[in-house]
Amino acid sequence: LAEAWVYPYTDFGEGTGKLDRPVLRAVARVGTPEATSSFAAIIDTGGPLTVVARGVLLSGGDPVDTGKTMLLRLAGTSNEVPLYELTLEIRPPHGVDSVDPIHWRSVVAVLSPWPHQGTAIILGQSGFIENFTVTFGPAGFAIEPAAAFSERYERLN
Amino acid sequence: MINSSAKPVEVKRCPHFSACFRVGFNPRRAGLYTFTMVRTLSLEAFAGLWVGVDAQGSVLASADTLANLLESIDQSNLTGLEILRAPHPEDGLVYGLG
Repeated sequence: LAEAWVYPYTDFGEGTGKLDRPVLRAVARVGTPEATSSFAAIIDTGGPLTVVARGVLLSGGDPVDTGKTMLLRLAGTSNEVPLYELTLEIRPPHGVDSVDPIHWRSVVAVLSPWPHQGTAIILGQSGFIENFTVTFGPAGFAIEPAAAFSERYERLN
Repeated sequence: MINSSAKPVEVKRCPHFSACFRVGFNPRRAGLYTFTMVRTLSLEAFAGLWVGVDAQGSVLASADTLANLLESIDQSNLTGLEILRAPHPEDGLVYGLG
């Protein structure tokens, strides 16, 4: 089993709201294979699919309009959004440069204007969680290949 | 496929860690972990703008739209930036994403 990529949580400086601690987000670097830059991508276990800001399509990923739409409710807004096929890749944490990004192709929802602060991509179940094992802990979070889950919890299968 | 033994370079001790104790749970005493890894970005000066930050969290590019930022990054030949939208105080805090 390969070792996990371990990420710190991110404090975007959103404030604390009614809490006495900052809001910490599980954010990874995700981009298109052609781009050197990446986008801050937050992991949303409740999201059925990945949602991207429209500008993400400009960076590559061979976007193909499926011609389909869906009603998306996010951050207090409701929008009928187009669905695209798009290739994305997750980059390793900063300081881990000796390994290649891992890419996948899936259907994503494209949203404009982008309502969420701090990110440009919201990683949902389709395309992301179905391809990776993600472990959330009190100190940080880790991303591993999908097979890590079945290997670790084989007795449950 | 995924193979990493290195530690994240941006790891910092959470400056708000003491807040964890005020909610009645001491994870350190429970032996769960010794610190929280937090990357803290200081983006107040760029509130509401799209920004490109480097590995140290410094803002190297900013624009009012994502398209303009991508164009600016291309023209500047900047590489390896992470792109995000800086929080704006008037947006209000969203605890979750729904």
